[in-house]
Amino acid sequence: MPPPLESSITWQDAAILLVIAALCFALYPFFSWWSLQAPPWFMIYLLWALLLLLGFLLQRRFSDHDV
Amino acid sequence: MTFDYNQLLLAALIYLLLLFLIAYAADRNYISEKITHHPLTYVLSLGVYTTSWSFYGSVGFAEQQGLLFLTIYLGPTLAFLLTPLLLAPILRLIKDYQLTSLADLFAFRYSSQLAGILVTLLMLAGTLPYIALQISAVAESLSILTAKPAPLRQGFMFCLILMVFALLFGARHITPKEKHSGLVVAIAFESLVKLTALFAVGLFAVFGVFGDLQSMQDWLQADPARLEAFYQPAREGPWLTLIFLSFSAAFLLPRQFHMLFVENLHRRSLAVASWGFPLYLLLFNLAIPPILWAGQYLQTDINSEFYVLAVSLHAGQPWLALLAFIGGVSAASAMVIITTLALSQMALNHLLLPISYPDPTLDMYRWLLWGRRMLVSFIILIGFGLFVLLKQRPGLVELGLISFVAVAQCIPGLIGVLFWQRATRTGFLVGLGAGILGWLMIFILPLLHQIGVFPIKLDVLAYLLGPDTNVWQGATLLTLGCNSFLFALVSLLSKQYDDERRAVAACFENAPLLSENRLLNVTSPRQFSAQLAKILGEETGRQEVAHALSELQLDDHERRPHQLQRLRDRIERNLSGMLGPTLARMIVDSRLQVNASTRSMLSDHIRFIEDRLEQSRSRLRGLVGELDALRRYHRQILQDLPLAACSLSKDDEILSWNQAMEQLSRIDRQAAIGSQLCDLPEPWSTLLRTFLREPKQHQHKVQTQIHGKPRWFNLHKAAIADKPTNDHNRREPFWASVVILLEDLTELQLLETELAHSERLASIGRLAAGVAHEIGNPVTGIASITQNLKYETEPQIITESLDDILEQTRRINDIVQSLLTFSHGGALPAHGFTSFALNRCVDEAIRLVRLSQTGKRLEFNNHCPPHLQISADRQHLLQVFVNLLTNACDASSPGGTIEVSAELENADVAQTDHVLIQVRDQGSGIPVELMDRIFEPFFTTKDPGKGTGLGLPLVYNIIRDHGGMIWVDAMYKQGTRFYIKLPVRQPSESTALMTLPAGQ
Repeated sequence: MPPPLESSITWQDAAILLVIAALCFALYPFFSWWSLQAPPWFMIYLLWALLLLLGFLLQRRFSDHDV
Repeated sequence: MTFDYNQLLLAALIYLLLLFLIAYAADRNYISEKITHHPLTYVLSLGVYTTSWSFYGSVGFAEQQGLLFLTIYLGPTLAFLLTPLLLAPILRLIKDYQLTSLADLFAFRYSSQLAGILVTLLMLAGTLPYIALQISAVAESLSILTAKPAPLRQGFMFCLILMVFALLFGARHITPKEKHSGLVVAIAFESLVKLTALFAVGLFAVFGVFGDLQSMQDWLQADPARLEAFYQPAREGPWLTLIFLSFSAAFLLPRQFHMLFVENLHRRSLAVASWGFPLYLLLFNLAIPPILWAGQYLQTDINSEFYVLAVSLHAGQPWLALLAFIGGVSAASAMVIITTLALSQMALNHLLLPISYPDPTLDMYRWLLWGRRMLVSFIILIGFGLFVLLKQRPGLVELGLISFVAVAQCIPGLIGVLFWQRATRTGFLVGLGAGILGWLMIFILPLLHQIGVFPIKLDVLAYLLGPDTNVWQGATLLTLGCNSFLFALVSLLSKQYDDERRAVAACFENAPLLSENRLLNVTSPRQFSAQLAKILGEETGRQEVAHALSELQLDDHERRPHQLQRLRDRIERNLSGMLGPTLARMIVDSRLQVNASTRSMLSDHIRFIEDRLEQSRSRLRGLVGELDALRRYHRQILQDLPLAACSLSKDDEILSWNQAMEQLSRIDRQAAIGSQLCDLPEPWSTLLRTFLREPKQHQHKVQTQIHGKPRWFNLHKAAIADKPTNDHNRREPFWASVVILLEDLTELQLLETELAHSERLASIGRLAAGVAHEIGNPVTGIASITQNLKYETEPQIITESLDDILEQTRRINDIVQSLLTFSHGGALPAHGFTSFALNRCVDEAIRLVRLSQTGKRLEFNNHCPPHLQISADRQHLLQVFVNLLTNACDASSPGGTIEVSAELENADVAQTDHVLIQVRDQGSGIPVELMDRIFEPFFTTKDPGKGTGLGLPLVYNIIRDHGGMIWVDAMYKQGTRFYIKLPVRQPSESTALMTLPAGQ
């Protein structure tokens, strides 16, 4: 069998990613509260775009091999 | 505004024809690779996620569940955010082991055909209704646009066109690497079309229906209950459950898995997709709320799931309605085509092949190709059949979510693939079985009951969790809960089998590095072909071996064990791409067997570790990085060592071959490593093997013939110890490998010969005066006798005179012969030594030395026993005595005595007999402080021009070459005493000279 490739992702990187993912789930109570304030309908799209920006910046941290 | 069926059909046909053209052009490379291989194309092709459910159903979902509709797209966003942890490792496995589906991945990781079968059945059951849903959506859109019920014929036509497309661009040939650039470009184009269509309808909803954004906002503000209805489900609905379901569907749905991993061309594309695909989803969904509100504003009586069409119809612009219809066709067709191809591959590898493996006499490639084509057609037709059955369908969203819950059952198993090494096959099968059972009872049996196939009405959720339970939350919790619990519990209680452990090692980066590689029973590519032919058929077996050889850049004569092991691995992977990993492994294990009695190949282990470190070079950090740098430094030292070095395993397999060795032997490093010692060309094979078998660690001046020229080497070897074991009865040598150094002495040897020659010439020069004098006396004698003879008549006197002349001539001849003997020395003979009497050699040396030492009246005593024979090179030994005696003469005072004696020393059993020779004089002696330097080249105490400083070094080298020793007695106070110890041996017993005939 060929050697598996080593990953450059450290446990810190993995932790950052997982915390972000967990936050997305855990922010649900905040989201409930926020939706009560009747924000503009497109606001969630802006938050979504922010998450995308984060994803874009994160992927630049890793080499081609890792991402 | 309504359309005619034929108009719509024609539009759909033209669109699909365009799709055909694009796929064809991409397949034939009419479209530049810059486009077909561009990451953006890959990102757009992932848009296959958005089916007619997204295109039409999202608006209906948004009306019923408000903001919850976004969860179906936020889940994938999260999944792609975790690309480095989640998607990249899966991609690595898929690429490295040429896996073609999720079923392959699980069958590979858990080393189980049953795992592949279960996953395939789950995917078929979960996805076939989804295919029916797409046909249904297209039929429904036709019905809305024509304001007539859609006839079945149109749906069937749609299915037939998709079938042809899938067969042409997805099942045209069988290759181990499932890459279809035409298909990918066509799907990317479809994604672009549906995005454009939805965006156009969205823009019309804002600007055509409301007038502008502000008017839409005002309309929303005017009815707060509407906005509240939009937000309220997000607070109370199954937000987290839906995000989780769509999270898993984003990469586990067969179509997503296929486009994301199997059709991936470059890893870099996945990096772009990690943000590009979520961006596509964001843009896609941006239009949904305006379309929803426009539909509500228009108060149309069309089902909210088809507001996209309703709004575009209201525009009164046929092109917009047509574009919306084409968008829907795009969404449905892309999903059907890719899902069908993915399912057909799974069904082929995990259902059809295990059930009916083709006869080896058939053409395997042809069989596979037609098997796949048949499955593609079959799956689309089943989809159509389900569409007919599901006329009373529960809705686009519901059917879509049923698929999502089905694929989510693979999440626990995936944890075992990516993160949990302890997970076992049994745990996976039990957990997945429980999940599938729950899913069937919660969704499929009620669905079958709904369409009248299953008689009993089941409501498992209400029975277990209460009547008010949300179906998605309850179903996900129940099925995945049971699945995960049993997966973990059974995995902890059961054990992993050997084949599973091997698969785990392949899946995990930190798994144990060294696998138990053993030698193969087959020893040549031809034997590979013959063995594979028994199960794959002659032609297929031959082609597979040829293909693998070409990929590895090996030739048909390859014999090296590690290369054959690579060939076996490559064949297994290629077969895995065609037949699935389980079947491929079975074929390879049964036909290309390993020899259980052989040991691991150390070179493979070393190469495995080095390859892995090489690939990870830029990613090693901290102490690990520094250790690797140190390793590289040490390896570089060995590589650049000016001495030729190689290392060998216990099995005589070459493990390393440094640069100097490469240059010396002219054997390429890559070719040498992994070869057996006996496979090396001569004389290297014999030279190294003979030395390896020798008990001695060092051998000096071993002579061999290379390309017809003599070469001399010093050979050294050292054992590299293995890890100690507690097994005291072990009989094997206590080392893992041997390192051999070859010191090329050829130049030095030639130089020594030159020096000896120079020294000899110098000696002859010194002898010249004596020779002239010695020859001059008899010549003078001959001249005077001859002069007297002229007048002599007495016969008696004439006879005596002639005898005198002859005597004088003999004397001259003796001198000339001695001189000739002395001058004929050269390199040590390649054929060995000769036996001769030592005292005669000493006599000759004395005679020569006397020629140049006439003035001192020295006395030479030769005490060597006449019977003492010695095996040596006579000329060289003569040179030794001449040099030693000349030095003795130089150091002696006039009238001094120089003595040479010899005695035989009987050694013990282990050693050879020796002759101990003494050469002593009564001269000035050697100062103690100079004794260490007398054998150094060019060191002399004589006046300039009188000594070269090469005499004693030459003596030392000659004695060393004879396997003897020379030393000076430091305790001798009456002058100088040299000791020479030479072995008494026959020529055939020579160990100092190990000669190898040229061309042997």
